[in-house]
Amino acid sequence: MSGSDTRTIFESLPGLEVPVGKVVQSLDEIWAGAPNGGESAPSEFRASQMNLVLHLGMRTTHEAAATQFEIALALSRRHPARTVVLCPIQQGEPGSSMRAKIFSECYIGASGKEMICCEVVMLSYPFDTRCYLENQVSVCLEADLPVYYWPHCIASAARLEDYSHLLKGSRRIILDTGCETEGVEEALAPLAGKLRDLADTRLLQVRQSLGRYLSSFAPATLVDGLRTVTVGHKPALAAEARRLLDWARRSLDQCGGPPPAEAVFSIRSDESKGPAGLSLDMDYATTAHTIRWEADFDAGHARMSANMGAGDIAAEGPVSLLKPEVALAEAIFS
Amino acid sequence: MNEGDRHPFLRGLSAHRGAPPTVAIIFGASGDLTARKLIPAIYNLAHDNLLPSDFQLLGFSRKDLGDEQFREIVAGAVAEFSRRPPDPEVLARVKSSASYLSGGYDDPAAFKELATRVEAIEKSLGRETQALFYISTPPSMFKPILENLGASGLAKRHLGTRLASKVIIEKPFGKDLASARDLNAVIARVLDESQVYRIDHYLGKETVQDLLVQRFANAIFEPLWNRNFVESVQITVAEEVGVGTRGGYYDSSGAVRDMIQNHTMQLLALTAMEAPVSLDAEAIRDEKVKLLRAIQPLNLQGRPDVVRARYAPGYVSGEKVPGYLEEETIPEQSTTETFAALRLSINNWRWAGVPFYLRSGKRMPHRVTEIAIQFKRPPGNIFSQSDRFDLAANTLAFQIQPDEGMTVVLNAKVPGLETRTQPVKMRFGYRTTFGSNTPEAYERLVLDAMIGDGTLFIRGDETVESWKLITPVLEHWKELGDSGLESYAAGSWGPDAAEALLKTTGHNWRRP
Repeated sequence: MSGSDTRTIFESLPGLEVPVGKVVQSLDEIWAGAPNGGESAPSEFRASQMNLVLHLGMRTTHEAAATQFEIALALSRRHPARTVVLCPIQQGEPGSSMRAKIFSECYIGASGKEMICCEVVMLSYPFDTRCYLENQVSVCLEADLPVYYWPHCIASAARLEDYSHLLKGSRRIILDTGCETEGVEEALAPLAGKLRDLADTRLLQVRQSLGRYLSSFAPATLVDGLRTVTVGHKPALAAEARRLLDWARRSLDQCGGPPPAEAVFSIRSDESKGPAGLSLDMDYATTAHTIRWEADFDAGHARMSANMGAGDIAAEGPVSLLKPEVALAEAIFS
Repeated sequence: MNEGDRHPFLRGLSAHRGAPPTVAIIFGASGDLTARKLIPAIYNLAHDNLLPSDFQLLGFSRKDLGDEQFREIVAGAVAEFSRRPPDPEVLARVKSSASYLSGGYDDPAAFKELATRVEAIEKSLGRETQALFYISTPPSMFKPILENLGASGLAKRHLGTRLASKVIIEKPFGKDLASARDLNAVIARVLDESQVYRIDHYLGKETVQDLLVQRFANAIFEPLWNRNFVESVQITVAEEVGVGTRGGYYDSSGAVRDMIQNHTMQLLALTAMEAPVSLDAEAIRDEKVKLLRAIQPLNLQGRPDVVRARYAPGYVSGEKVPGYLEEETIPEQSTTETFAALRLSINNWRWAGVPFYLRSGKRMPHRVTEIAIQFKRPPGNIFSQSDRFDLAANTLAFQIQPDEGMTVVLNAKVPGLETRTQPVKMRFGYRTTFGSNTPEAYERLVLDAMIGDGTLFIRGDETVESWKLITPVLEHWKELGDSGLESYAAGSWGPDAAEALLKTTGHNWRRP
């Protein structure tokens, strides 16, 4: 619980509380509508592509819970889903038994001609009943559709072992290294093939902008005499900066041989006031050679400049970090 | 292109996010297609940040316009025809990237100036740029444009690299076999086939692309997709509209040239082809050509395999509409068909003996494009008492447009004490599963051409094979004049003769 709100996270999320054993029946009852004068019954629009399990860890605040809930709904408006939100009861919170809520929403789209419907099941459970969670969650999931597991603000890396059924049973595990506890990613290393980082998927347009620009230089040119690669970032974008540097290093490694041994890869935090942004600087042993890319996400554009021996080149283009629900979709589907 | 062949800084990005620096030149920039489809497509690609960041648009036509006037045309086209309302910032960016050049399509001097303009754009960007030419002009201008692209050197820019010039050519690609071959010969003198993108916008539709996924990503269909289980296949491309203001073009074309030779034959090819060895463009196109070659020549005498007709006055959507000959721009002595139905036979192991019925027409009851696979009935049917068992043939229908999706017709038991059966439908709908707001066909096609993916475009030999089948029909009709040209009321599904085409084999046209 946070601040003056004495409700649990489960209580603060929207939805209708139903008996835990009647979650599926209650969902069916929402959709069972009688056709009216030839109009389609609501149940005809109840279509899902997937199951999303949003696991709100013990470090989740009320505000963050509401934000993640809205992101899940926004995702569902484009990719109809059944979302199961897991809300462990925090230390000191009342409640000794599992509770359930259901929520549904139909989105008629900008044209008014489509109807996409999604369902959310919220499960609140005492922490010490977590070993029984697997059965209850499996009942709530929609059969035959893939499961995506999205743990958020998990208290510690060790805690994830308690939810191995979710880790193993899901097609993808989606983290956000921008807010996860240190060590969570390492703890999930055995499942690296399923792991996606929202800090990385948020950078899709950044990689696109940089990729298009840097691909106009021959790979060998990019590594010849490379001395330093520096990613600069505003404080809120530290995780993105790490991912960007990883990507730059991997891509340079593939440019026909590893970069020169003395090339230094580093991250620089820019504490000054100013718009949210990232930058990439590549400097070369030949003093005149340089590549600079700088993005201002508030203004929505990036500037690129380079001199690789053929004179100064400059370009500008649009760039932004992906919206949260778009980043989530990218993590799920790419 | 394999991932390993891509520049390291593009690996991991989908091909569509790595479009190279491009200047797009639209021939026919003041025309209807440019306004309705091409400019909105470019706008929406910019909106989704899929255009290269230094994309330039150059309109070229005979009309005397300046850059600013063309930019206002761009803005107007986006406002009126874009699937999304214009975002001021994106629109400003698209407008600022647009410029215009007026000139004759058959004027070498104009193309020299065009070449100079393209080089100047490349120099100002500071990096090598591909030129993407879109020919959206009357068909009579295709040849002079192609020849001038060759003579000016524009066709050969950056040849052998991913920035090689590319040319998108609109339909109609020829009006018969001879003209299609002639056009292909002109292309071959000027361009490499890999630079050529013959457009059929149906291939850009999501539902058409889904055909291959449905057929080959699902194991349950392929074992049934042959003459042992399929009774017949029907492909319908029906339009509700009449010729409207397109009478001048349509009367020289007709339903067969306008719809059947291209769109319907593409749907047929995707439905009936063998599995490609990969998803590479050439692998898919090879199989389509193979299928087209296996289609038997149409029988035009005795019991003909084709029916043609023209719409008469009638009612469409409750409104009285005139007949074809009463339309404003249609000459009294016209013998053009507005409806055609064909019965095709495919001579291969998979399809021998299975009739394929194709029909397309204007002023039909409603707009619908559908592919329906009708399966054979079970052998030795235990449900044979017709008063108890209302059995339908299992049918798998792909609704290409509107109401995109798939339907399966099955037989189920009606709840009750007795065993009675009734046909029921199972349906997958695109909108409820995937939502709308999917890219329009032209967005996909323009971007595919930009990245050099020819999968959704027609290869030269494909169009030749299609014309080989259709041209004898057109020549036969030309000899007959209006003899044999049937009539159907606007708002109906076609003439009785089309019904008779199927009745001889015990089949009936669907009412989709």
